[in-house]
Amino acid sequence: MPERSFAEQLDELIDSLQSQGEVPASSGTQDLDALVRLAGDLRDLPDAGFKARLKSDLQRRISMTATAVLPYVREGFHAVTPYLISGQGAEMIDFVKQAFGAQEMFRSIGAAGGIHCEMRLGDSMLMLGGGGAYTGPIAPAALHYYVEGNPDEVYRRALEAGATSLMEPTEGYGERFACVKDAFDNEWYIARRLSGPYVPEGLHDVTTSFHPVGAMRFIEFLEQAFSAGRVEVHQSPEGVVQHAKISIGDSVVELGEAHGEWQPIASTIYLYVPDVDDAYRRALAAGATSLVEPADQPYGDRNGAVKDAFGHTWYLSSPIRK
Amino acid sequence: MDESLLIEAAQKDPSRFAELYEANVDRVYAYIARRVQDRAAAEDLTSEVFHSALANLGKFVWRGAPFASWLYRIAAHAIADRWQQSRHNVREVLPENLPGGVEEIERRAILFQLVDQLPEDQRRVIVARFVEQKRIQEIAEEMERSEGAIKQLQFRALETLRGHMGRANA
Repeated sequence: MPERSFAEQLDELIDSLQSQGEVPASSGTQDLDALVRLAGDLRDLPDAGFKARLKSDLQRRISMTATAVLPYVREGFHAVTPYLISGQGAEMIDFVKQAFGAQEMFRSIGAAGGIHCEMRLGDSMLMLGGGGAYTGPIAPAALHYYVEGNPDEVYRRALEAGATSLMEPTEGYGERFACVKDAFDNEWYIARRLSGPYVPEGLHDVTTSFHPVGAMRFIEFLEQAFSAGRVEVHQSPEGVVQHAKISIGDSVVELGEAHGEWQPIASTIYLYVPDVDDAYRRALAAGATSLVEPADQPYGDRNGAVKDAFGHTWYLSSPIRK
Repeated sequence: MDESLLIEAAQKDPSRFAELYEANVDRVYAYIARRVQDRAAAEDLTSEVFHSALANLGKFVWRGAPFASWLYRIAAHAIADRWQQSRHNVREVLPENLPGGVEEIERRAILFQLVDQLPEDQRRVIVARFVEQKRIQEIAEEMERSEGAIKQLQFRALETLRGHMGRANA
């Protein structure tokens, strides 16, 4: 029997299946019966859109309800901490204090001869380093900083402290916001929600932003390496990621495809993970290269480092297991 | 990764729950879809099962049975609750009386996963025909192909799935 005729017979049986809700009686052909039974099973095929929405809902819930203190995150920190590194570490620390009122919590000299400083900004921690004898690469960052007070005043203080304006205060997306670049190449996107809490639900006061080339591949890397979840991903009709919020542990990072003045920044992130060795292996499998193999450190963390294919450095850390 | 290690990882770090979801969503949906009348109810209940599983993951103790068994139990309770609330949305067959049981659910879950591996034009026809419940004429217009071509794609897709299912069950 020619294939076309077979295809038409099959379609008639599927029509009957769809209208009657039951697999029709035998067609008299064993092959056709087998295909109709499969068609009957496919009536329960789940909608891919439903599965993606449910996954997104679950990930949003995880990011919103993550316990305040994850067992593998150092007290006072969140899973994601930006590590700003400059050739002028001390000056950068002074700027962050003067512009934003950040509080210095800890300072020492790191193994590479530069300053290592930990600062509290709102509910978040920043690590700042460099300067002194440090001659390694610098690592600025793009940070979304939600302020409880007046963002215009914070913007003005940042300019007075030496930053340059990238965007004067304006309103959009339900926020009042402005953007400055400091003398150490860090971009600060200063914002406050126009109504309700000053910071959007699920975000901390400081959120790290990325502008990689190949944003969707970067999201996939975060998923594979660090079990990141898609909280929201907005794409253009051509599939370009315009804006995304991605959860990692109890934190959310933001990202969008590099464009215009928003070009890639080789940032460094200090990331607390449940299992350093597992995260290190998964990051390498997802395309990152090793910088430092995991090892126990004298300060109580097990630590390793990788560089992803987009130029970001990730220090993977977890308290040493007893 | 071994399922027990993945469960342990998700209990420590809830973001790992996404991996448990990916591994089990087709099974849970297949389990529920056989027991309820319509797609909207199947989606509601599947959603309820995974939200409940996420909320109670910390209480889960792995005793060697597949994680899916726990999800099926949550699903059975959710279906029973719904059946008590509205006695017309659930098929007359109780879960434990369905032929084939877990093996049949596994077979369907494999079938659903194989649909994603079909060539794109065949996959589109299967989704349009069975998920969106469209007629051949509508699909032909959307894909700008003849009705005959769409019937051929439907036929080839089912033949491909049948072949893969045969290999999967071998």
